Amino acid sequence: MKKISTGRQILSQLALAGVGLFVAAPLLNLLGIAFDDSLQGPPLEFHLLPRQFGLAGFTTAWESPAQGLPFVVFLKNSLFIAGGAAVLAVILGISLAYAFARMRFAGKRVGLFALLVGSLLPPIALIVPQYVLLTRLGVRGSQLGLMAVYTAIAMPFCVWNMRAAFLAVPSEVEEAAMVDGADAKNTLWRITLPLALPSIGVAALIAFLVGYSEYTLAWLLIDKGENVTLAMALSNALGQYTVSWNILSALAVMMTAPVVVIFLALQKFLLDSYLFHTGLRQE
Amino acid sequence: MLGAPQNASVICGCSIVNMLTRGLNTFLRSRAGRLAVIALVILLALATRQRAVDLLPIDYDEDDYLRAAQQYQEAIRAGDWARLTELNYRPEHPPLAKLAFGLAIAHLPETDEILDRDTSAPPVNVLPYPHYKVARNLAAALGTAQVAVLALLNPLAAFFLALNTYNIKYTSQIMLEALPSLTSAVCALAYLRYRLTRRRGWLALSAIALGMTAASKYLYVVAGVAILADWLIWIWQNKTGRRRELLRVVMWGAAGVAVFFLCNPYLWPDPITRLQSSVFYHAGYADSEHVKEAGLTAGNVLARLFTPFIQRNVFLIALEPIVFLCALFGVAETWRKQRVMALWLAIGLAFLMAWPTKWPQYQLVLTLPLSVMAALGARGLWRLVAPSAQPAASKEKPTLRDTLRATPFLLPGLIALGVMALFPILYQLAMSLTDFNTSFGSFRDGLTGGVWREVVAGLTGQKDAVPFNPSFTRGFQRPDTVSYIALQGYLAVLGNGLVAALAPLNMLWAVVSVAGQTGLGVAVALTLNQRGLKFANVWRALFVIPWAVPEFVGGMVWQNLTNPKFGVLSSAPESLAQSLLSLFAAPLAAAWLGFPIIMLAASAGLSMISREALEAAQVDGATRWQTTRLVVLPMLTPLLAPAIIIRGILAFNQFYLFQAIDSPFYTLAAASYDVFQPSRQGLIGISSALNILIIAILFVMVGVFNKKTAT
Repeated sequence: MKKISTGRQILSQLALAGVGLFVAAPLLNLLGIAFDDSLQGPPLEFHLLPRQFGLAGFTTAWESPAQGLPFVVFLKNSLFIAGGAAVLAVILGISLAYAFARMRFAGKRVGLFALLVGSLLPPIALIVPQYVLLTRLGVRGSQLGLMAVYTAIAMPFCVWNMRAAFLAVPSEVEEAAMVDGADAKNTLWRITLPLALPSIGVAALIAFLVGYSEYTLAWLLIDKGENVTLAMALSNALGQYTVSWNILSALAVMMTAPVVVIFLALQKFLLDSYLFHTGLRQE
Repeated sequence: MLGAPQNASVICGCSIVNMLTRGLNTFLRSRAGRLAVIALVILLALATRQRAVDLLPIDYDEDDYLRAAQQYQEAIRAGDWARLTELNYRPEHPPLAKLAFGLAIAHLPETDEILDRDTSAPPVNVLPYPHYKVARNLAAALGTAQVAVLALLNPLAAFFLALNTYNIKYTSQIMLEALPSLTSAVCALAYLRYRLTRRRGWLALSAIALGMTAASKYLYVVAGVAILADWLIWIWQNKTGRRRELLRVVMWGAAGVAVFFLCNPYLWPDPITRLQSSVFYHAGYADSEHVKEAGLTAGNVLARLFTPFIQRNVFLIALEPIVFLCALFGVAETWRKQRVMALWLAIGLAFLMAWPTKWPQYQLVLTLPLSVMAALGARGLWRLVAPSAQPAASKEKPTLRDTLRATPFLLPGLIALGVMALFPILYQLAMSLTDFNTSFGSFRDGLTGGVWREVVAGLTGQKDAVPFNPSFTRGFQRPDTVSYIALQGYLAVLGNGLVAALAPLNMLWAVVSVAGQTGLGVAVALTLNQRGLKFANVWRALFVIPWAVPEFVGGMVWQNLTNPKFGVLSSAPESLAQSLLSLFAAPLAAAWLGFPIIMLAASAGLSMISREALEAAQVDGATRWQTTRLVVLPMLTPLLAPAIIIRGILAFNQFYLFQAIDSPFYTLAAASYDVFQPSRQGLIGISSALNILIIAILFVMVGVFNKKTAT
């Protein structure tokens, strides 16, 4: 493919700058509020820059955002629960996705949609059934119970995403491996999986975010302060009308930052088509 | 296909259901089948209207129009034909529809004239019997005739019209709507026949019907305006015979005016003055206090398109939301195939929204073209979901061995999903059949097995359904235990006006918000994918950030940014821009939150499309835009479909966003939460029925989308 011309380069950069403004404006607004020490409650007028620049919001949000516990505890809980759910969803879903992409079995067409049915329920509809189920399983109130719930919510989406990724891998590549004597498991593990890795990474991050930002179910299923997640802490703070919005915004910034970091760290790996192309060229 | 030898396994796969479907199809396409369908629709129209005649309470204005009919009755019985030119009670409306009521009751004995009261007076309790029934029956017969006329054009549209609650109501009462509804339908359909056959006889019929329409109620002339517009567009598009055709337009109009005059004896003695006072009455009335007090807005007119008229026990089924959705789907098709109907709806809607008087009966101007549009839309939708005629014989059925080989791959995921995802649905279904709620006794009983106990007992017939108060309000006596209520919860949900109003809006929201996210996401991904683009990684790193922001934080920030009082544009003049911005806060926030995932999925997809295909296209001389449109997007669509489906499901059930943003509209999921919440209604069972409804709607939407994008 040809490289783009200079005119096109400029046009593209201008368009991207427009989108950049749309993306950045709310983020800057959030940062501006987070650094504004003059706030007592919600902001009552709009300011481009903080009126009284300070770090009080961040120090409070760091030391004790909710439940009298430090930020680190909530972050740890969130990373454990949401991360665990993402890993579980991908691991449990990967063979399912592969089977739906590559294998033949009875009820395949119906099954693919049946997988989604569970995810069609609005999240809040899960409150009572999961309460009953987790009580029966004896894990209600524990972090593992919440992790299981998030896994169930995220898994169908994961399966669909990963199935599409597997479908996109040319089947000739797999057939070649089969001819060379690899069995189905080995082909999946050594050939298909690496090629589909970018999309699987995206699926995992989507699954992670389901658990990372959910709070309604969590408030019902978690009953100890030490198990509270970041999203729960933030929603709790948002519900209290007396809270200063610099603390609230600082907490939102601090909650968002780890995800941004995770993504930026993985970005090159996720979107680099290196794996894919070397995989093809070696044929 | 016909000559090919039939594969034995295909015949086996072709079940009885399939054969029945094919047989039914053949029957419906035959002349007898079509007639049978039309007869059924007419019977349905008659039945619904007769039921309404019997059950509807006496409404505003019915006393006035029956009083007018009494005056005509008296004159007709006395043979005093000259008096007809002087009679016109409620002179703001032309006399034909009132005269028709007078003719209908002419054979009955005369009774004392009904009291002359102010037009805005509340409904009376009693009207002379059987006069009032006879007059209502005439309206119902005319209403049924309207459905019958439409059934000749399109039986499905007639079916929708037959069940439209506004149509049923106002063509079953002593209102002026029934006659002009019928004549305007005749007017439009005769015009369509003329366009098809070029016979002038049809044109004459159309003109007669037009005149009668105007002589019954002015508003319905909207149909004539639509015909005129459609006709002129057609003449403008055709180069030949313009002169002759324009002459016919003039003749048609003149004949219409002549018939109007003939059918309007009140005008005969003094045409100009009486016509003036009758027409100008409406402008004055539109400004009157009575109209202002009603406080009806353009929003009410729009809302009536998809919300049924609620009158318990009179209307058994409310198809309005479904009809409206089908109609949305059929807009383009209607414009192509039945433009006069599209124009009728558009002009009627524009007029009703602009004109200050917006009584609910005016809706009948819109229901016929809306039904046609919905019928065309429904046919298009059916084509999307219907199984294709050709059996997929190319793929062999999977053998038991195939299935066994796949089992180890399927099992771990299925077990996990079965426990964690299937159980909630089953439990949801069970709860939806009970009156489970958050009052202390019921909650305790339900959580400790009461739901299963009741549902099992109810479904096995050991227990009858307990009558359930279907109102969504709090405060009725709540029992201490859970009880089986069968499908009453679903009836309560389906009959609820809020649910009926939210359902189509909710679907619209899902479609619009996902379309926005996808458009922006794909455009950005394509831009970033250009070879040699500078700073691509920097931009991508920035664009992905909103995705990492939890939904309710994003909602919170956008709410803050777009707040009319102190948002980013609050200093703009008159704050018009600001109020627009706050109106679009929810879709903007949704696009902001959602586009990064689509961008990522599109980027990942683009990295999988082989460069060879693109290079081959460019070698063949395709421009960049052609390559994108013809090579890249078709390859990208199946890769993006899962992401779009997921975003669609999340958008349909969007909840946290609407917790953070003040929006005049919210999703069914949010409504379900309100029903569920202990501090609101606390009706868990009803909320479950609503959730099952949500699943059903989403399932259809996902199926349609998947079928459209599947390669």
